[in-house]
Amino acid sequence: MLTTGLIITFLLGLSVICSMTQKISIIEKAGLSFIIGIFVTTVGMLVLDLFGVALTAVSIISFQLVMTILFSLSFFCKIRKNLKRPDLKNFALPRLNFIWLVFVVFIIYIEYMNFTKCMYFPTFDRDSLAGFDTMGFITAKEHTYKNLSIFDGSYVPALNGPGSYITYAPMVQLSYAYVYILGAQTSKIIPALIFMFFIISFYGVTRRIAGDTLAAIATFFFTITPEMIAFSSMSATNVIHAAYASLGIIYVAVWIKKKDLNNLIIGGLLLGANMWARTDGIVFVGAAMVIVIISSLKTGKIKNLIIFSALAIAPALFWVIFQKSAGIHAESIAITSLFYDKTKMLKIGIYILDLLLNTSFFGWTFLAFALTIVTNIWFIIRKGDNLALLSMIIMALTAYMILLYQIDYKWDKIENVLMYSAKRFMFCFSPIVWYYFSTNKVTLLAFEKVDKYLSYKKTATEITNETETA
Amino acid sequence: MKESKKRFRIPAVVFWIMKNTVAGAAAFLLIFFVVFKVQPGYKWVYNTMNNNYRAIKRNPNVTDQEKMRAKLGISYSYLEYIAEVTPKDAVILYPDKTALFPKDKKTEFRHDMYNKLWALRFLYPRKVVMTNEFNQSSYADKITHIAIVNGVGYELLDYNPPQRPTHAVFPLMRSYMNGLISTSVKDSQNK
Repeated sequence: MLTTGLIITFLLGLSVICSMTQKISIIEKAGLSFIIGIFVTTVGMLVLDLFGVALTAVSIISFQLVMTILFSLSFFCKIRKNLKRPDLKNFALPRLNFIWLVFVVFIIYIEYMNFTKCMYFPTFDRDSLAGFDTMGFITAKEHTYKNLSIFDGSYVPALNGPGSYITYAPMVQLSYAYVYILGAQTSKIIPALIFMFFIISFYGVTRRIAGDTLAAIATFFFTITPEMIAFSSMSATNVIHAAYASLGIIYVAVWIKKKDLNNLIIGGLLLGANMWARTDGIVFVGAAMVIVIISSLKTGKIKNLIIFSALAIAPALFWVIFQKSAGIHAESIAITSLFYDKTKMLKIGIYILDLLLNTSFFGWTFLAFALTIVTNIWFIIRKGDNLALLSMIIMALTAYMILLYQIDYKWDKIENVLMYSAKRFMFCFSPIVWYYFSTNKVTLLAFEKVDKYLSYKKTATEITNETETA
Repeated sequence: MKESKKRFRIPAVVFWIMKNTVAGAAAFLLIFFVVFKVQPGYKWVYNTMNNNYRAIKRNPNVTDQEKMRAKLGISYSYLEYIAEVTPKDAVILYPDKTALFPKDKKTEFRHDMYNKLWALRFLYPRKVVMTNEFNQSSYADKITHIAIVNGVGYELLDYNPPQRPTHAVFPLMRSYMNGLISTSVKDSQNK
């Protein structure tokens, strides 16, 4: 049952992606399939719950199958006119070099060990047991989310206190509930699969812009980001959130580069899912929104802005409506008025800087970021190379620091939040930074030469052209 | 004669393999001897992954319960014990942080087991009432069992148990009388 459910989730995601765009590579489609599939499934679960349908294997799988059929029909209607018999004459094996091969072998080796570890140990980390995993487990047992026994104030008197688990964005708990409903003993299959598909998607999208070799190198370094890979085998939300947030920002950056609406649609969908996973993901939606607004105003294509906004905001809006209708609320931790607290400001700044410079947590990630800016400075200033992406990184980081500043730390010490929560939030930046590293002008020029020398076949430009003409 | 004087040329594919082998070897050396040996974070990733993988391969038949015991220690064993000896409809008065982690006493417990949700993950569908929410909980008058930790909680029992282990769970006598505990609990208590 579990395997069937996971395959249906994969097919659902694939049908959604295919119905939205045909202009991305097969690797990207495969990578995004499960990530999008589980997102759509959890949205559907909450819709069913809102209308009073019990969350059972039958109801959820029926929903998935109906959605898969609808999206597949939409896909076939779109491609019917251009349907061609596959031409085997044009079939060619990818022409790759040994540097690519070595990096890919290491990625597979590391991810295989990580996947094995993730599946071997049941959930034991604090945040999952005191939140997401337990909520998913109880949802599966009680077949509801809005009427959970642990959402009853007379049973849990501290329920509406500041920082309560009741207001956590629902994606992770519902995805765990999904596998528990299908008979899983632990929820670990979800983080294990999401991280694996995250790697595939990242490689796919980076390859489209930077070529095979650079994509393999960037994927390798993002995969082995120490603190992130350690957390990827746990049931915490952070790596799952990082998958949606970072890929969302990357697709918006690809849209800026390629001016192809399909990338913006995927970016919007992923950023919507990012807020469905964690509400602090709003900083990425905000950063991307600024770029989309500027670009839409420049080109006069307001349609882009409307599509992006709808996709990026709709899930969060639905969550707010669901909370209102189910009476789910907790004491706010946000300080809504403006204030000046120099000590708090400095503390946040110092902690964040300390995190970014900590190579034990993030390896060479932020070192590579600084190096990329320095070496590419001429192209940034003169040609505006990757400026949109760089702006999004800086804006999201600044917005996150403002968010931390505007929080009233009633439930925990600010030091703890900065040391643990903020550290894990930085996972979102690791893939974005490695993507930035591999798609700037200087790195592209250097690797164009390496690619040409070693493979004399497909270069980054050729791959891009191929994907576009496909 | 002329033909034999023709210059020998390395075939393109051989040249391609040669330069790629050199580049591939350089990449391998860079990853293996610089990334995984010099940078402390990456070194930790590589060593931890390998050690974990070897440990997993050495212990393929370990049950989930055994893994949890290894990870969470006595905290898990204690909750597992409560789940084993109480019926599924039990309402358990559960110790708070001060009882689990007394300042003046060394305790065997670890982790966040004073967190209600943390404990519920192992005790569900039993209801858990924390001692610090006793006055507010709607289940306060439905308590059927008292969870004892570090010898704390015996004062809440309505009888004197013949033995007083440091960590235990006992049914309330009045809950028997009020019919709050099903008879199955008597059998489980015999364990």
